[in-house]
Amino acid sequence: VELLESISRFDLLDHVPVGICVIDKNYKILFWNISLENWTEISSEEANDKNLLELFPHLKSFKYRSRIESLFSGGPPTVFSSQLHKNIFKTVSSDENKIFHTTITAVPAAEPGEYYAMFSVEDVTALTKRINDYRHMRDQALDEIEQRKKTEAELHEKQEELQELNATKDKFFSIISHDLKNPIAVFLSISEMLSKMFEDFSPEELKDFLDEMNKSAKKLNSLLENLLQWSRAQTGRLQYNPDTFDLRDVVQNSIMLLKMNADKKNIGLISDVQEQSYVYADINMVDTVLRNLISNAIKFTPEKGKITISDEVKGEFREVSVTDTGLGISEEDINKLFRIDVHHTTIGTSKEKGTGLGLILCKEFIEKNGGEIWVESRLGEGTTFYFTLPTEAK
Amino acid sequence: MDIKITEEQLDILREIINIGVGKAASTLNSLLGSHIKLMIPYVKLIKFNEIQKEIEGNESDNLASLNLKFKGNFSGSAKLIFPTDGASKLVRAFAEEDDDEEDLDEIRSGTLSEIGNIVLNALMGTLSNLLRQHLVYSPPSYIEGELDKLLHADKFDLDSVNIFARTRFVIQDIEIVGDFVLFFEVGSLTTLITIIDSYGEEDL
Repeated sequence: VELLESISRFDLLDHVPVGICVIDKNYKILFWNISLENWTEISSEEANDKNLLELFPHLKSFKYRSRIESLFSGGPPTVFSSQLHKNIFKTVSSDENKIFHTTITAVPAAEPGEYYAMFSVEDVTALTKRINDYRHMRDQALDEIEQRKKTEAELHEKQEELQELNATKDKFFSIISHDLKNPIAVFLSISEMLSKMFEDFSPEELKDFLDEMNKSAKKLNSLLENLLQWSRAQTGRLQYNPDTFDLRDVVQNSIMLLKMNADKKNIGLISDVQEQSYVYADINMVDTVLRNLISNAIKFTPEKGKITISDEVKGEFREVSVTDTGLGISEEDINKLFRIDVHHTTIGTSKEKGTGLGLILCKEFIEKNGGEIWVESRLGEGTTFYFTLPTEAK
Repeated sequence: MDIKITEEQLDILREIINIGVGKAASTLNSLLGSHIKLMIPYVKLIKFNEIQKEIEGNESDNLASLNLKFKGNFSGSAKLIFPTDGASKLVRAFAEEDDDEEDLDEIRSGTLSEIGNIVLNALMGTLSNLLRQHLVYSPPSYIEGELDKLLHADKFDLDSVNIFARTRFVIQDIEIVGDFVLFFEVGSLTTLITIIDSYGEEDL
Protein backbone atom coordinates (compact mmCIF):
# COMPACT_ATOMS: atom_id res chain seq x y z
CA VAL A 1 0.00 0.00 0.00
CA GLU A 2 2.81 2.35 0.95
CA LEU A 3 4.59 1.73 -2.31
CA LEU A 4 1.39 2.19 -4.31
CA GLU A 5 0.79 5.47 -2.57
CA SER A 6 4.22 6.73 -3.38
CA ILE A 7 3.96 5.59 -6.99
CA SER A 8 0.75 7.48 -7.50
CA ARG A 9 2.40 10.46 -5.80
CA PHE A 10 5.00 10.65 -8.57
CA ASP A 11 2.72 9.84 -11.52
CA LEU A 12 2.59 13.47 -12.67
CA LEU A 13 6.31 13.30 -13.28
CA ASP A 14 5.68 11.02 -16.26
CA HIS A 15 4.69 14.14 -18.13
CA VAL A 16 7.83 16.26 -17.77
CA PRO A 17 10.66 16.39 -20.34
CA VAL A 18 13.12 15.37 -17.65
CA GLY A 19 14.18 11.85 -16.68
CA ILE A 20 13.05 11.18 -13.12
CA CYS A 21 13.83 8.35 -10.75
CA VAL A 22 13.00 8.11 -7.04
CA ILE A 23 14.77 5.72 -4.68
CA ASP A 24 14.47 5.01 -0.98
CA LYS A 25 17.36 4.80 1.47
CA ASN A 26 17.99 1.18 0.45
CA TYR A 27 18.38 2.26 -3.19
CA LYS A 28 15.11 0.53 -4.09
CA ILE A 29 13.56 2.19 -7.14
CA LEU A 30 10.13 3.61 -6.33
CA PHE A 31 9.54 5.50 -9.53
CA TRP A 32 11.01 5.43 -13.03
CA ASN A 33 9.44 7.88 -15.47
CA ILE A 34 8.72 7.67 -19.20
CA SER A 35 11.65 9.89 -20.25
CA LEU A 36 14.02 7.48 -18.49
CA GLU A 37 12.30 4.52 -20.15
CA ASN A 38 13.00 6.10 -23.52
CA TRP A 39 16.62 7.01 -22.82
CA THR A 40 17.61 3.74 -21.14
CA GLU A 41 15.17 1.32 -22.80
CA ILE A 42 14.48 -0.02 -19.32
CA SER A 43 10.72 0.01 -18.71
CA SER A 44 9.25 1.15 -15.43
CA GLU A 45 7.98 -2.41 -14.85
CA GLU A 46 11.56 -3.67 -15.13
CA ALA A 47 12.97 -0.89 -12.97
CA ASN A 48 10.44 -0.57 -10.15
CA ASP A 49 11.30 -2.41 -6.98
CA LYS A 50 14.78 -3.19 -8.29
CA ASN A 51 17.89 -1.98 -6.53
CA LEU A 52 19.41 0.97 -8.41
CA LEU A 53 22.93 -0.25 -7.63
CA GLU A 54 22.18 -3.62 -9.25
CA LEU A 55 20.96 -1.92 -12.44
CA PHE A 56 23.86 0.53 -12.52
CA PRO A 57 26.80 -1.06 -10.67
CA HIS A 58 29.15 1.91 -11.29
CA LEU A 59 27.06 3.91 -8.80
CA LYS A 60 28.41 1.64 -6.04
CA SER A 61 31.74 3.47 -6.12
CA PHE A 62 32.54 5.84 -3.26
CA LYS A 63 32.44 8.94 -5.40
CA TYR A 64 28.74 8.38 -6.11
CA ARG A 65 27.63 6.66 -2.92
CA SER A 66 29.12 9.27 -0.61
CA ARG A 67 27.26 12.03 -2.37
CA ILE A 68 23.92 10.25 -2.68
CA GLU A 69 23.91 9.02 0.91
CA SER A 70 23.56 12.50 2.48
CA LEU A 71 20.24 13.02 0.69
CA PHE A 72 18.50 10.30 2.73
CA SER A 73 18.83 12.58 5.75
CA GLY A 74 17.50 15.59 3.84
CA GLY A 75 20.85 17.07 2.81
CA PRO A 76 21.35 19.65 0.07
CA PRO A 77 20.93 18.73 -3.62
CA THR A 78 23.79 16.92 -5.34
CA VAL A 79 24.91 17.70 -8.89
CA PHE A 80 26.54 15.28 -11.34
CA SER A 81 27.60 17.44 -14.27
CA SER A 82 27.37 16.31 -17.86
CA GLN A 83 31.03 17.16 -18.33
CA LEU A 84 32.36 14.88 -15.62
CA HIS A 85 29.82 12.06 -15.91
CA LYS A 86 28.15 12.33 -19.34
CA ASN A 87 25.33 9.95 -18.45
CA ILE A 88 24.94 8.36 -15.03
CA PHE A 89 22.15 6.01 -16.25
CA LYS A 90 24.15 4.60 -19.11
CA THR A 91 22.95 1.30 -20.63
CA VAL A 92 23.93 -0.69 -23.70
CA SER A 93 21.11 0.96 -25.64
CA SER A 94 21.98 4.54 -24.61
CA ASP A 95 22.72 7.01 -27.37
CA GLU A 96 26.49 7.58 -27.11
CA ASN A 97 26.19 11.18 -28.29
CA LYS A 98 23.75 12.29 -25.66
CA ILE A 99 24.94 13.97 -22.47
CA PHE A 100 22.96 14.46 -19.32
CA HIS A 101 23.09 16.76 -16.33
CA THR A 102 21.82 15.12 -13.15
CA THR A 103 20.57 16.78 -9.99
CA ILE A 104 19.56 14.67 -6.98
CA THR A 105 17.28 16.24 -4.40
CA ALA A 106 15.84 14.99 -1.11
CA VAL A 107 12.07 14.55 -0.97
CA PRO A 108 10.22 13.76 2.24
CA ALA A 109 9.41 10.04 2.40
CA ALA A 110 6.21 8.38 3.48
CA GLU A 111 7.87 7.57 6.82
CA PRO A 112 8.22 10.73 8.92
CA GLY A 113 11.78 12.04 9.22
CA GLU A 114 12.96 9.96 6.29
CA TYR A 115 13.84 11.07 2.80
CA TYR A 116 13.85 9.65 -0.70
CA ALA A 117 16.40 10.70 -3.27
CA MET A 118 14.94 12.01 -6.50
CA PHE A 119 17.18 11.98 -9.59
CA SER A 120 16.31 14.59 -12.23
CA VAL A 121 18.15 13.86 -15.45
CA GLU A 122 18.20 16.61 -18.08
CA ASP A 123 19.23 16.02 -21.68
CA VAL A 124 21.71 18.87 -22.26
CA THR A 125 23.05 17.61 -25.60
CA ALA A 126 21.42 20.35 -27.69
CA LEU A 127 22.15 23.05 -25.13
CA THR A 128 25.79 22.06 -24.85
CA LYS A 129 26.12 21.99 -28.60
CA ARG A 130 24.61 25.45 -28.86
CA ILE A 131 26.94 26.81 -26.18
CA ASN A 132 29.90 25.27 -27.94
CA ASP A 133 28.78 26.75 -31.26
CA TYR A 134 28.51 30.20 -29.70
CA ARG A 135 31.90 29.85 -28.12
CA HIS A 136 33.32 28.76 -31.43
CA MET A 137 31.74 31.76 -33.16
CA ARG A 138 33.10 34.07 -30.50
CA ASP A 139 36.59 32.66 -30.92
CA GLN A 140 36.35 33.06 -34.67
CA ALA A 141 35.24 36.67 -34.30
CA LEU A 142 38.13 37.35 -31.92
CA ASP A 143 40.55 35.77 -34.41
CA GLU A 144 39.20 37.94 -37.19
CA ILE A 145 39.58 41.10 -35.11
CA GLU A 146 43.15 40.08 -34.28
CA GLN A 147 43.89 39.49 -37.98
CA ARG A 148 42.41 42.83 -38.94
CA LYS A 149 44.51 44.64 -36.36
CA LYS A 150 47.61 42.96 -37.72
CA THR A 151 46.78 43.99 -41.27
CA GLU A 152 46.20 47.56 -40.15
CA ALA A 153 49.55 47.66 -38.40
CA GLU A 154 51.25 46.33 -41.51
CA LEU A 155 49.55 48.96 -43.65
CA HIS A 156 50.64 51.65 -41.25
CA GLU A 157 54.22 50.43 -41.41
CA LYS A 158 54.18 50.40 -45.22
CA GLN A 159 52.75 53.89 -45.23
CA GLU A 160 55.58 55.13 -43.05
CA GLU A 161 58.10 53.49 -45.34
CA LEU A 162 56.52 55.19 -48.32
CA GLN A 163 56.58 58.53 -46.56
CA GLU A 164 60.24 58.16 -45.85
CA LEU A 165 60.95 57.19 -49.44
CA ASN A 166 59.05 60.22 -50.59
CA ALA A 167 61.01 62.44 -48.22
CA THR A 168 64.24 60.98 -49.62
CA LYS A 169 63.17 61.82 -53.12
CA ASP A 170 62.19 65.37 -52.11
CA LYS A 171 65.52 65.87 -50.38
CA PHE A 172 67.33 64.75 -53.49
CA PHE A 173 65.49 67.23 -55.69
CA SER A 174 65.94 70.05 -53.24
CA ILE A 175 69.68 69.45 -53.04
CA ILE A 176 69.98 69.36 -56.80
CA SER A 177 67.89 72.48 -57.30
CA HIS A 178 69.27 74.64 -54.51
CA ASP A 179 72.73 73.56 -53.59
CA LEU A 180 74.14 72.46 -56.89
CA LYS A 181 72.71 75.44 -58.69
CA ASN A 182 74.67 78.06 -56.79
CA PRO A 183 78.26 76.89 -57.27
CA ILE A 184 77.48 75.99 -60.87
CA ALA A 185 76.10 79.47 -61.50
CA VAL A 186 79.27 81.04 -60.06
CA PHE A 187 81.39 78.70 -62.12
CA LEU A 188 79.39 79.44 -65.25
CA SER A 189 79.43 83.22 -64.96
CA ILE A 190 83.16 83.43 -64.19
CA SER A 191 84.11 81.04 -66.94
CA GLU A 192 81.90 82.92 -69.40
CA MET A 193 83.43 86.24 -68.40
CA LEU A 194 86.93 84.81 -68.73
CA SER A 195 86.27 83.30 -72.11
CA LYS A 196 84.78 86.54 -73.52
CA MET A 197 87.03 89.14 -71.91
CA PHE A 198 90.21 87.26 -71.04
CA GLU A 199 92.43 90.01 -72.47
CA ASP A 200 90.77 92.76 -70.42
CA PHE A 201 92.00 91.37 -67.08
CA SER A 202 95.31 91.76 -65.36
CA PRO A 203 97.13 88.57 -64.31
CA GLU A 204 96.25 89.35 -60.64
CA GLU A 205 92.55 89.62 -61.46
CA LEU A 206 92.73 86.42 -63.49
CA LYS A 207 94.30 84.65 -60.52
CA ASP A 208 91.42 85.83 -58.25
CA PHE A 209 88.85 84.54 -60.73
CA LEU A 210 90.60 81.21 -61.03
CA ASP A 211 90.75 80.90 -57.22
CA GLU A 212 87.03 81.58 -57.08
CA MET A 213 86.39 78.95 -59.76
CA ASN A 214 88.57 76.46 -57.93
CA LYS A 215 86.60 77.06 -54.73
CA SER A 216 83.33 76.42 -56.54
CA ALA A 217 84.74 73.30 -58.16
CA LYS A 218 85.84 71.97 -54.75
CA LYS A 219 82.44 72.64 -53.27
CA LEU A 220 80.80 70.92 -56.21
CA ASN A 221 83.14 68.01 -55.89
CA SER A 222 82.45 67.40 -52.20
CA LEU A 223 78.74 67.82 -52.72
CA LEU A 224 78.72 65.39 -55.62
CA GLU A 225 80.72 62.90 -53.62
CA ASN A 226 78.20 63.01 -50.77
CA LEU A 227 75.31 62.79 -53.19
CA LEU A 228 76.83 59.83 -54.93
CA GLN A 229 77.50 57.95 -51.71
CA TRP A 230 74.08 58.76 -50.41
CA SER A 231 72.31 57.58 -53.55
CA ARG A 232 74.38 54.39 -53.42
CA ALA A 233 73.30 53.89 -49.83
CA GLN A 234 69.66 54.55 -50.73
CA THR A 235 69.62 52.10 -53.59
CA GLY A 236 71.50 49.46 -51.67
CA ARG A 237 74.50 49.56 -53.99
CA LEU A 238 76.89 50.79 -51.34
CA GLN A 239 79.65 48.29 -50.68
CA TYR A 240 80.15 47.60 -47.00
CA ASN A 241 83.65 46.21 -46.47
CA PRO A 242 84.50 46.21 -42.79
CA ASP A 243 88.04 45.63 -41.59
CA THR A 244 90.13 46.39 -38.54
CA PHE A 245 92.08 49.65 -38.82
CA ASP A 246 93.67 52.33 -36.67
CA LEU A 247 91.26 55.24 -36.30
CA ARG A 248 94.13 57.58 -35.47
CA ASP A 249 95.41 57.43 -39.09
CA VAL A 250 92.00 58.26 -40.53
CA VAL A 251 91.57 61.21 -38.15
CA GLN A 252 95.06 62.51 -39.06
CA ASN A 253 94.20 62.24 -42.74
CA SER A 254 90.93 64.18 -42.34
CA ILE A 255 92.69 66.88 -40.34
CA MET A 256 95.30 67.27 -43.06
CA LEU A 257 92.66 67.62 -45.76
CA LEU A 258 90.62 70.20 -43.81
CA LYS A 259 93.53 72.09 -42.21
CA MET A 260 93.48 74.80 -44.90
CA ASN A 261 89.82 75.61 -44.25
CA ALA A 262 90.47 75.73 -40.51
CA ASP A 263 93.57 77.91 -40.91
CA LYS A 264 91.54 80.49 -42.83
CA LYS A 265 89.37 81.04 -39.73
CA ASN A 266 92.28 80.61 -37.34
CA ILE A 267 90.69 77.51 -35.84
CA GLY A 268 92.86 74.96 -34.07
CA LEU A 269 92.27 71.32 -35.17
CA ILE A 270 93.50 68.94 -32.47
CA SER A 271 93.50 65.14 -32.43
CA ASP A 272 93.49 63.55 -28.98
CA VAL A 273 92.97 60.10 -30.47
CA GLN A 274 95.23 57.57 -28.77
CA GLU A 275 97.70 55.35 -30.55
CA GLN A 276 96.41 51.98 -31.73
CA SER A 277 92.78 52.99 -31.57
CA TYR A 278 91.50 50.03 -33.50
CA VAL A 279 87.95 49.76 -34.80
CA TYR A 280 86.21 47.22 -36.98
CA ALA A 281 84.36 49.19 -39.67
CA ASP A 282 84.29 50.24 -43.31
CA ILE A 283 87.18 52.70 -43.58
CA ASN A 284 85.65 54.71 -46.44
CA MET A 285 82.43 55.27 -44.53
CA VAL A 286 84.27 56.31 -41.38
CA ASP A 287 86.39 58.68 -43.47
CA THR A 288 83.25 60.32 -44.91
CA VAL A 289 81.70 60.63 -41.45
CA LEU A 290 84.80 62.25 -39.94
CA ARG A 291 85.22 64.69 -42.83
CA ASN A 292 81.56 65.69 -42.62
CA LEU A 293 81.66 66.20 -38.86
CA ILE A 294 84.95 68.14 -38.89
CA SER A 295 83.95 70.38 -41.81
CA ASN A 296 80.61 71.07 -40.09
CA ALA A 297 82.50 72.01 -36.93
CA ILE A 298 84.73 74.39 -38.89
CA LYS A 299 81.65 75.93 -40.47
CA PHE A 300 79.97 76.71 -37.16
CA THR A 301 82.99 77.73 -35.14
CA PRO A 302 83.92 81.42 -35.08
CA GLU A 303 87.48 82.63 -35.71
CA LYS A 304 90.15 81.56 -33.19
CA GLY A 305 88.05 78.67 -32.00
CA LYS A 306 89.13 75.09 -31.32
CA ILE A 307 88.01 71.68 -32.58
CA THR A 308 89.06 68.55 -30.70
CA ILE A 309 88.69 64.95 -31.82
CA SER A 310 89.09 62.33 -29.08
CA ASP A 311 88.15 58.74 -28.35
CA GLU A 312 87.42 56.39 -25.49
CA VAL A 313 86.70 52.66 -25.28
CA LYS A 314 83.26 51.84 -23.85
CA GLY A 315 82.56 48.14 -23.58
CA GLU A 316 82.69 46.57 -27.01
CA PHE A 317 82.67 49.97 -28.70
CA ARG A 318 84.98 52.91 -29.25
CA GLU A 319 83.25 56.23 -28.72
CA VAL A 320 84.62 59.05 -30.91
CA SER A 321 83.77 62.69 -30.25
CA VAL A 322 84.20 65.87 -32.31
CA THR A 323 83.92 68.90 -30.03
CA ASP A 324 83.87 72.50 -31.17
CA THR A 325 83.71 75.87 -29.45
CA GLY A 326 81.10 77.06 -31.91
CA LEU A 327 77.60 78.49 -31.96
CA GLY A 328 75.83 75.52 -30.47
CA ILE A 329 72.50 74.12 -31.59
CA SER A 330 69.10 74.74 -30.04
CA GLU A 331 67.23 71.75 -28.64
CA GLU A 332 64.55 72.16 -31.26
CA ASP A 333 67.07 72.02 -34.09
CA ILE A 334 68.89 69.01 -32.60
CA ASN A 335 65.78 66.94 -33.21
CA LYS A 336 65.79 67.89 -36.88
CA LEU A 337 69.45 67.14 -37.52
CA PHE A 338 69.35 63.49 -38.52
CA ARG A 339 65.94 63.47 -40.15
CA ILE A 340 65.46 63.11 -43.84
CA ASP A 341 61.89 64.40 -43.77
CA VAL A 342 62.72 67.79 -42.27
CA HIS A 343 64.79 70.21 -44.30
CA HIS A 344 67.34 71.78 -42.07
CA THR A 345 70.39 73.85 -42.96
CA THR A 346 72.10 76.62 -41.09
CA ILE A 347 74.38 79.24 -42.50
CA GLY A 348 77.94 79.01 -41.16
CA THR A 349 79.90 81.70 -39.30
CA SER A 350 81.55 82.80 -42.58
CA LYS A 351 78.29 82.46 -44.48
CA GLU A 352 79.11 78.88 -45.52
CA LYS A 353 76.17 77.03 -46.96
CA GLY A 354 75.22 73.45 -46.21
CA THR A 355 72.90 70.92 -47.71
CA GLY A 356 71.69 69.12 -44.60
CA LEU A 357 72.72 65.94 -46.37
CA GLY A 358 75.96 65.39 -44.49
CA LEU A 359 74.51 64.36 -41.14
CA ILE A 360 71.90 62.11 -42.69
CA LEU A 361 74.70 60.35 -44.51
CA CYS A 362 76.73 60.11 -41.27
CA LYS A 363 73.82 58.47 -39.45
CA GLU A 364 73.28 56.02 -42.27
CA PHE A 365 76.96 55.05 -42.34
CA ILE A 366 77.44 54.72 -38.59
CA GLU A 367 74.33 52.58 -38.26
CA LYS A 368 75.51 50.41 -41.13
CA ASN A 369 78.65 49.77 -39.06
CA GLY A 370 76.62 48.80 -36.02
CA GLY A 371 77.26 52.02 -34.13
CA GLU A 372 75.23 54.98 -32.95
CA ILE A 373 75.51 58.72 -33.54
CA TRP A 374 74.19 61.53 -31.38
CA VAL A 375 74.85 65.13 -30.44
CA GLU A 376 75.09 67.17 -27.28
CA SER A 377 75.01 70.92 -27.50
CA ARG A 378 74.20 74.17 -25.80
CA LEU A 379 73.53 77.42 -27.60
CA GLY A 380 76.62 79.64 -27.42
CA GLU A 381 78.78 77.00 -25.73
CA GLY A 382 79.65 74.67 -28.56
CA THR A 383 78.68 71.27 -29.79
CA THR A 384 79.94 67.70 -29.47
CA PHE A 385 79.04 65.02 -31.97
CA TYR A 386 79.56 61.46 -30.75
CA PHE A 387 79.61 58.22 -32.64
CA THR A 388 80.48 54.66 -31.71
CA LEU A 389 82.10 51.88 -33.70
CA PRO A 390 82.73 48.26 -32.71
CA THR A 391 86.30 47.58 -31.58
CA GLU A 392 86.37 44.12 -33.14
CA ALA A 393 84.46 41.83 -35.49
CA LYS A 394 81.55 39.93 -33.94
CA MET B 1 20.81 46.61 11.27
CA ASP B 2 23.85 46.00 13.38
CA ILE B 3 24.58 42.51 14.53
CA LYS B 4 26.93 41.83 17.39
CA ILE B 5 28.76 38.58 17.43
CA THR B 6 31.13 37.59 20.20
CA GLU B 7 34.54 36.13 19.54
CA GLU B 8 33.28 32.84 21.01
CA GLN B 9 30.28 32.67 18.68
CA LEU B 10 32.53 33.44 15.75
CA ASP B 11 34.86 30.66 16.90
CA ILE B 12 32.04 28.13 16.81
CA LEU B 13 31.07 29.33 13.35
CA ARG B 14 34.69 29.01 12.23
CA GLU B 15 34.83 25.50 13.61
CA ILE B 16 31.65 24.49 11.79
CA ILE B 17 32.90 25.88 8.49
CA ASN B 18 36.24 24.19 9.10
CA ILE B 19 34.60 20.80 9.51
CA GLY B 20 32.53 21.41 6.36
CA VAL B 21 35.63 22.33 4.37
CA GLY B 22 37.33 19.15 5.59
CA LYS B 23 34.39 17.07 4.35
CA ALA B 24 34.42 18.88 1.00
CA ALA B 25 38.11 18.09 0.63
CA SER B 26 37.65 14.40 1.20
CA THR B 27 34.81 14.24 -1.36
CA LEU B 28 36.85 16.20 -3.90
CA ASN B 29 39.77 13.85 -3.31
CA SER B 30 37.67 10.83 -4.18
CA LEU B 31 36.48 12.53 -7.36
CA LEU B 32 39.90 13.78 -8.38
CA GLY B 33 41.89 10.74 -7.36
CA SER B 34 44.77 12.97 -6.28
CA HIS B 35 45.36 14.91 -3.16
CA ILE B 36 43.48 18.15 -2.83
CA LYS B 37 43.91 20.28 0.24
CA LEU B 38 41.42 22.89 1.37
CA MET B 39 43.17 25.37 3.62
CA ILE B 40 41.70 26.45 6.93
CA PRO B 41 39.21 29.13 5.99
CA TYR B 42 39.30 32.71 7.12
CA VAL B 43 35.85 33.67 8.40
CA LYS B 44 34.28 37.00 9.25
CA LEU B 45 31.00 38.86 9.26
CA ILE B 46 30.60 41.56 6.66
CA LYS B 47 27.88 43.79 5.32
CA PHE B 48 26.53 43.18 1.84
CA ASN B 49 28.13 46.33 0.48
CA GLU B 50 31.56 45.32 1.80
CA ILE B 51 31.57 42.14 -0.22
CA GLN B 52 32.96 43.91 -3.26
CA LYS B 53 36.31 44.61 -1.65
CA GLU B 54 36.56 41.18 -0.04
CA ILE B 55 36.13 39.15 -3.22
CA GLU B 56 39.47 38.13 -4.66
CA GLY B 57 40.31 39.87 -7.94
CA ASN B 58 38.88 43.16 -9.08
CA GLU B 59 35.47 44.32 -10.09
CA SER B 60 35.84 43.90 -13.83
CA ASP B 61 37.15 40.36 -13.50
CA ASN B 62 35.02 37.57 -14.73
CA LEU B 63 33.79 35.42 -11.89
CA ALA B 64 32.03 32.11 -11.66
CA SER B 65 29.48 31.60 -8.94
CA LEU B 66 27.47 28.68 -7.66
CA ASN B 67 24.39 29.52 -5.69
CA LEU B 68 22.43 27.38 -3.23
CA LYS B 69 19.25 28.77 -1.67
CA PHE B 70 17.91 27.40 1.56
CA LYS B 71 14.86 27.88 3.79
CA GLY B 72 14.19 26.94 7.38
CA ASN B 73 14.71 28.53 10.79
CA PHE B 74 17.27 30.64 9.05
CA SER B 75 16.90 31.38 5.36
CA GLY B 76 19.26 32.73 2.76
CA SER B 77 21.67 31.49 0.19
CA ALA B 78 25.19 30.18 0.06
CA LYS B 79 27.44 31.28 -2.76
CA LEU B 80 30.80 30.00 -3.83
CA ILE B 81 32.62 32.56 -5.96
CA PHE B 82 35.78 31.88 -7.97
CA PRO B 83 37.72 34.15 -10.28
CA THR B 84 37.36 32.33 -13.63
CA ASP B 85 41.14 32.29 -13.93
CA GLY B 86 41.48 30.12 -10.87
CA ALA B 87 38.38 28.20 -11.87
CA SER B 88 40.02 27.21 -15.16
CA LYS B 89 43.00 25.85 -13.25
CA LEU B 90 40.69 23.88 -11.02
CA VAL B 91 38.80 22.47 -13.97
CA ARG B 92 42.08 21.53 -15.65
CA ALA B 93 42.92 19.45 -12.61
CA PHE B 94 39.62 17.60 -12.82
CA ALA B 95 39.38 17.17 -16.57
CA GLU B 96 42.76 15.58 -17.08
CA GLU B 97 41.95 14.19 -20.52
CA ASP B 98 41.52 17.58 -22.13
CA ASP B 99 44.17 20.05 -21.26
CA ASP B 100 43.55 21.94 -24.46
CA GLU B 101 42.66 25.52 -23.60
CA GLU B 102 39.65 25.64 -25.91
CA ASP B 103 38.09 22.47 -24.62
CA LEU B 104 38.65 23.68 -21.12
CA ASP B 105 36.45 26.68 -21.70
CA GLU B 106 33.64 24.45 -22.89
CA ILE B 107 33.66 22.06 -19.98
CA ARG B 108 34.16 24.71 -17.35
CA SER B 109 30.60 25.51 -16.37
CA GLY B 110 29.53 21.91 -15.77
CA THR B 111 32.65 20.92 -13.90
CA LEU B 112 32.55 24.04 -11.77
CA SER B 113 28.91 23.59 -10.86
CA GLU B 114 29.75 20.11 -9.64
CA ILE B 115 32.84 21.12 -7.68
CA GLY B 116 30.92 24.02 -6.20
CA ASN B 117 28.08 21.69 -5.33
CA ILE B 118 30.45 19.43 -3.41
CA VAL B 119 31.93 22.30 -1.42
CA LEU B 120 28.61 24.00 -0.69
CA ASN B 121 26.91 20.73 0.27
CA ALA B 122 29.68 19.84 2.67
CA LEU B 123 29.45 23.26 4.30
CA MET B 124 25.67 23.52 4.44
CA GLY B 125 25.25 19.86 5.38
CA THR B 126 27.67 20.31 8.27
CA LEU B 127 26.05 23.54 9.39
CA SER B 128 22.53 22.05 9.46
CA ASN B 129 23.68 18.74 10.97
CA LEU B 130 25.73 20.23 13.77
CA LEU B 131 23.11 22.81 14.63
CA ARG B 132 20.37 20.17 14.23
CA GLN B 133 18.46 22.45 11.93
CA HIS B 134 16.40 21.16 9.07
CA LEU B 135 16.73 23.19 5.92
CA VAL B 136 14.97 22.88 2.55
CA TYR B 137 17.15 23.59 -0.47
CA SER B 138 16.40 24.79 -4.01
CA PRO B 139 18.35 23.15 -6.82
CA PRO B 140 21.70 24.92 -7.21
CA SER B 141 22.28 27.42 -10.00
CA TYR B 142 25.45 28.48 -11.76
CA ILE B 143 26.24 31.96 -13.10
CA GLU B 144 29.30 33.48 -14.76
CA GLY B 145 29.94 37.19 -15.08
CA GLU B 146 31.06 40.28 -13.24
CA LEU B 147 30.56 40.59 -9.50
CA ASP B 148 27.67 43.00 -9.87
CA LYS B 149 25.75 40.54 -11.97
CA LEU B 150 26.41 37.70 -9.55
CA LEU B 151 25.30 39.66 -6.52
CA HIS B 152 22.20 41.08 -8.09
CA ALA B 153 20.93 37.72 -9.21
CA ASP B 154 19.44 37.60 -5.72
CA LYS B 155 17.78 40.64 -4.29
CA PHE B 156 19.39 41.18 -0.94
CA ASP B 157 19.07 43.96 1.51
CA LEU B 158 22.19 46.11 1.18
CA ASP B 159 22.39 46.36 4.96
CA SER B 160 22.18 42.63 5.55
CA VAL B 161 25.06 41.08 7.42
CA ASN B 162 26.68 38.05 5.89
CA ILE B 163 29.17 35.38 6.78
CA PHE B 164 32.15 35.61 4.56
CA ALA B 165 34.65 32.78 4.35
CA ARG B 166 37.64 32.38 2.10
CA THR B 167 39.44 29.17 1.46
CA ARG B 168 42.26 28.11 -0.80
CA PHE B 169 42.33 24.92 -2.82
CA VAL B 170 45.75 23.46 -3.19
CA ILE B 171 46.14 20.67 -5.71
CA GLN B 172 49.77 19.64 -6.04
CA ASP B 173 51.45 22.80 -7.44
CA ILE B 174 48.38 24.82 -8.29
CA GLU B 175 46.79 27.06 -5.74
CA ILE B 176 43.29 28.36 -6.32
CA VAL B 177 41.45 30.86 -4.20
CA GLY B 178 37.73 30.44 -3.74
CA ASP B 179 35.50 32.82 -1.80
CA PHE B 180 32.57 31.39 0.05
CA VAL B 181 29.83 33.74 1.13
CA LEU B 182 26.73 32.88 3.12
CA PHE B 183 23.98 35.41 2.64
CA PHE B 184 21.27 35.56 5.24
CA GLU B 185 17.97 37.28 5.09
CA VAL B 186 17.71 40.01 7.68
CA GLY B 187 16.78 38.37 10.97
CA SER B 188 18.09 34.97 9.95
CA LEU B 189 21.58 35.66 11.17
CA THR B 190 20.28 36.65 14.60
CA THR B 191 18.42 33.34 14.69
CA LEU B 192 21.59 31.53 13.71
CA ILE B 193 23.55 33.26 16.46
CA THR B 194 20.88 32.31 18.98
CA ILE B 195 21.13 28.70 17.85
CA ILE B 196 24.91 28.83 18.10
CA ASP B 197 24.55 30.23 21.61
CA SER B 198 22.36 27.33 22.74
CA TYR B 199 25.06 25.08 21.43
CA GLY B 200 27.86 23.96 23.69
CA GLU B 201 31.43 23.56 22.58
CA GLU B 202 31.35 19.95 23.72
CA ASP B 203 28.90 19.22 20.88
CA LEU B 204 31.53 19.88 18.24
